[in-house]
Amino acid sequence: MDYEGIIAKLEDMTNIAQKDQKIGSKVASWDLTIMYIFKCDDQVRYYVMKMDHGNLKTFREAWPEEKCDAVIETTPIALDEILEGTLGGREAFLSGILRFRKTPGLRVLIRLRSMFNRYKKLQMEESR
Amino acid sequence: MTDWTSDFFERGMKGALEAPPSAWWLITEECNLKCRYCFASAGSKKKNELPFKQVRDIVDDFAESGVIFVTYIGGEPLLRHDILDIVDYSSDCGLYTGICSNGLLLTEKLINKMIRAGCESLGVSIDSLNSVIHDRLRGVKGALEKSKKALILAAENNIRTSIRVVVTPENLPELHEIFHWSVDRNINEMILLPEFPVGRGSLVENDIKSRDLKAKQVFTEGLEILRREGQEINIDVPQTYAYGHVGIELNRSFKEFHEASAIGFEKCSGCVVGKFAISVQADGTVYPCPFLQIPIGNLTKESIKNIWQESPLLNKVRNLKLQGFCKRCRFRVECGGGCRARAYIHGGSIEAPDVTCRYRIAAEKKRR
Repeated sequence: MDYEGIIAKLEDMTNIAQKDQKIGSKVASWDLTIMYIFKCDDQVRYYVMKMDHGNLKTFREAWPEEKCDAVIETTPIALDEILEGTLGGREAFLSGILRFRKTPGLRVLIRLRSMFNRYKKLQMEESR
Repeated sequence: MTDWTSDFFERGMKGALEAPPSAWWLITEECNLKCRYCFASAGSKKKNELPFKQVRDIVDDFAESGVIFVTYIGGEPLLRHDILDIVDYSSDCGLYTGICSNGLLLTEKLINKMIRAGCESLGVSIDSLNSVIHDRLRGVKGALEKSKKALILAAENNIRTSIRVVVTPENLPELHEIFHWSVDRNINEMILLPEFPVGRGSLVENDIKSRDLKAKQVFTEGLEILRREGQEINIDVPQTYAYGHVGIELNRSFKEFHEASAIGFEKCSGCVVGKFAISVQADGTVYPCPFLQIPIGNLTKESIKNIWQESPLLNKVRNLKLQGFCKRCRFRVECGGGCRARAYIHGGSIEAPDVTCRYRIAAEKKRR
């Protein structure tokens, strides 16, 4: 899993969340800015996901941390494993594989988990 | 601990979190066991149990407020026909969702349905590996075999699994066997609970104060036994001050992950009241904890943030002025004055000292 691969997956997850029957209406009211910092081999790559009342805009450049609700530093492989459900977010966070550079409030964390959980469940349903 | 968690615990210890991160939710009072010490006096289904729609509204309120852990307890939560919908909804909202069950209804098929619904942890209660003892404590013949099978199946299906043991004089001699049995079956966590003289547990003896003192002594002995056992196989038994319940991470390589589980939040605080957790009853009534059964609000009428921030009782606990022995105690910061439920049971007030504190008892003995 490389940078392009994980970005495609994150965008897929967000698109699904926006259209989802169960959480779509909630996502439509969210204002949320998450910056991902990916360490890929020797390179550092950025991906910013900004939701403005549910409208998604993405950027592939670094943003000032104060403009973000959460800044997550990880690798494309680890994030892929979390999305696939083979690595727990909690485990990744505490072992340092996934790091919060900027502390998100629990509400932000819950929103992120909501999108991740929905995506994981749909993947599980598809694979059955 | 990471910066994020240390900052979080520090704010929690000061009672400064906007909402409790963890909620134990007694989702039904209906139960298929008759445990001697049930704190909920569970048995038959009550008419005022919240319907799914109201449960959903409360889950929404939790998600918006920052209540990230919800553990459905009972009674027996699996007796609710809509429990999978409740788990599914909580998980969709982003909550870390767990269930505590007696395991009697758990099959592999149901465990997998729970996992697909988003259940992230499953606790099963076992008090003894001897069916005569377990079934007597739990009030139903044949209960142990079903509960053991459920735990093993859960661990095999890779859901975070905990064995929940109420420590009593009856099972104290075999506590180490239960511990090793759990480690050998790859169960992730062992949660020890003391007997509390509340609910059905308050009916066993008239003198609930001396009963509680005995129960705490047994619980402390149990912890010491497991601390010695754990040392030999590199498993930590955490130090505790409130002795409400203790979670032991059994998976050695995942030791550090323990801090982030629901029980991790709780164990770091001494007593969780007003700091890290609340208890929700089947009709939406909120208690400060499952053992401190004083209503502080109802979630069908007000939001969790409002109850958490405005409750006079919780604010009293947050501003507790330690006095006498506690004021001079070297553990006062971590402990914060001991268990508030015991303070209430023994002293009749939320602000009373926890007279069951073993340091206090030892000091008093020495003085005499």
